[in-house]
Amino acid sequence: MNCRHISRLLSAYIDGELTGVEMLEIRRHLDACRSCNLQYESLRYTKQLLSHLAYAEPRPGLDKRICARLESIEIPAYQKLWGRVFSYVRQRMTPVAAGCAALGAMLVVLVSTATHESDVIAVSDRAVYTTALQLPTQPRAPFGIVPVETRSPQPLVPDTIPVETLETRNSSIFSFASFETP
Amino acid sequence: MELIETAASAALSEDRRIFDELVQRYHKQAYNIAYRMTGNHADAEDLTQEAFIRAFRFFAQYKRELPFDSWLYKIMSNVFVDMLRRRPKAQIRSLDQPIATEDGEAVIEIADDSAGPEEQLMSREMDSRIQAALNSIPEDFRLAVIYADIEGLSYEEIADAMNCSIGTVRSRLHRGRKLLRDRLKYYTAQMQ
Ligand SMILES: [Zn+2]
Repeated sequence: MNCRHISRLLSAYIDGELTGVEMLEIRRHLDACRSCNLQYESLRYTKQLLSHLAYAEPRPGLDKRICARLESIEIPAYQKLWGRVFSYVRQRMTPVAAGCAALGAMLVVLVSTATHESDVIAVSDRAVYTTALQLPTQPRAPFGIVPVETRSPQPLVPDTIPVETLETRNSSIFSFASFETP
Repeated sequence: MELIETAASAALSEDRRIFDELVQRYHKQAYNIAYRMTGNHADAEDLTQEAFIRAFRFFAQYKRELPFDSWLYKIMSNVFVDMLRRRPKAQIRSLDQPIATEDGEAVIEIADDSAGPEEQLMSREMDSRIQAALNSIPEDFRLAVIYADIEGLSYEEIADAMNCSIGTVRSRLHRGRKLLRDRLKYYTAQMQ
């Protein structure tokens, strides 16, 4: 490896995030090359500076303030079941089967909620939830074989929700007072 | 259907109890990261609150066998990005005073090479310089650096929190550190 290549790997070297062979090779290079060694030291020191920053303390009672806000959040009961069913399905089935099952279940719920229009479910909430049901993309195992214990799939998280959708929700819950244009 | 709803709301209040405990246990840790991400206390409070509220909304999707903080980091990253999108470009908050330490007024002798930074108390001045440097680098780099160097996460964990590949983490982190080093040259130069 030349100096340019080494210098690109220095951060990963500092973090011990390289293969053993790479680590060894870089260590040898650093022993011999003053310029790379200076770079290494300065990056290592930068990391150290950050790791010794003081712990930022919140204003007292932050936990209470959070919990108080939770009081005003209503999670539709069906959404709750949804999450359970969905995560169960995702753990047990292949992505494709899970997708079909989810689609079927979604239809059932939509039909049943459409019949007695909910007092708790806002229309936008339903839209949000539907968006959140996107399946993470996973490589498909050949011949439908389910890999026994691969790395657990990405948890289904709210990051699939477009901001615009969130903004249409209960504005008292999702307002970022400090960021609103005056 | 009624039966299902009753069962579901019972589970909901049980969730609420569990979640309150999680708030208690993790709010300080979350706040610390939020402060380093945003660079001021008002935004840090907003970010922390919003992250927990979003987590609660989607708590049913949280896999209980995984550490809660990993999941929370992921949500925090998203809430942070959303906050940035909403923020009008012109509006830049002024930096807060650096965090007070017990003898915060003391100026540390960074040039003293008998003691590494491990043994030194970070001065308020230095804290605010580092925070200013953090604020000045692109958010993606900043988040990677915060997760790695302040929270001590592995690249895999950071990739998960930032929803990107390990290769991306590696590059963001390296570029972020290089920018920080250049902006903190005064300090990093003295140790050489
Ligand atoms: Zn070299």
